[in-house]
Amino acid sequence: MTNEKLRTLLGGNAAFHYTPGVPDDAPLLEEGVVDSFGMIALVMLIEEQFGIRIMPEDATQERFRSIGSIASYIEAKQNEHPGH
Amino acid sequence: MNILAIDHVQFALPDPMASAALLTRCGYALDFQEPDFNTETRSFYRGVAKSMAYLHRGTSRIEVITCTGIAGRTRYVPMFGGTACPDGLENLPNEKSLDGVIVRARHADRSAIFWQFLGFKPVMPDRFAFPPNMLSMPLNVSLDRNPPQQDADVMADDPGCASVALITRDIHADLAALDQAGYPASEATRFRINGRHVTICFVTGPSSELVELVEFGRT
Repeated sequence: MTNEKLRTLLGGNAAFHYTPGVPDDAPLLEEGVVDSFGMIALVMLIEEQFGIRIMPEDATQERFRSIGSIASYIEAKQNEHPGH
Repeated sequence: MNILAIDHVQFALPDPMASAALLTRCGYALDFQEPDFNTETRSFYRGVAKSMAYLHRGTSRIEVITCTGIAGRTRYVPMFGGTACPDGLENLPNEKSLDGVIVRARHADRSAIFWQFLGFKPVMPDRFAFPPNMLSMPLNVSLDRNPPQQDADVMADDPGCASVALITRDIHADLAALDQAGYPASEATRFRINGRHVTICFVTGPSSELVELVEFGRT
């Protein structure tokens, strides 16, 4: 569910270079789906769309490496504050 | 505050394109340049047309822009590879990255509170750093408690290491918070650069150190 919403978000914004079929574990920066400016936009869009607050120290390469790792992070954050 | 990361350090220089060329010889890569940008009147730039260039070396990012004001006013001494470079980009150490700034802090205790208000954390006495993350340029901010005598007022295009730019999620909310805390700021200005919408403003710290807030558009 979170993965699909992330894909919709990536596919629906000109800041990203998403094409359908990008695997969940594909590294977004290395694959060129998101560049460094796009990553800033992605962080802000995730906050808006998923109702979470991403602390600066949470924005690590490990957490934001792929659609799968971002989705896991979002779900963990949402579980900290159920109902969002 | 809504600060996410440190974006870059800005230098105001007589010939930014020549300075960009110098930086590329020292290992920085040119990301983009814009001649004669920012021509409309803005309080922080005296309304004079500017040229600018944006460069990076790894995660270290520098913006150079045309200077207008009086030399010797800026509050920052840049550090490359941990070494202070009081001459700015003159005599730049080869193959070193900008990784710190020293604030000539007339009001060091109040400046320490200011930097922490922006989200920086103390890492040593009189030294602060923003929480490391993948969006941020690593940069130590150190306070010099015994600076030389200085003029009170500085502007963003005074020659030298002029400002530290921070990325914010919400520039208007941050301006309100800064105003409430008593830190003066310029108006927020929205424009387009390198194909992207950005909104920027400048905040003045207690020792007249300038901090630029940058909000990037989502598309």
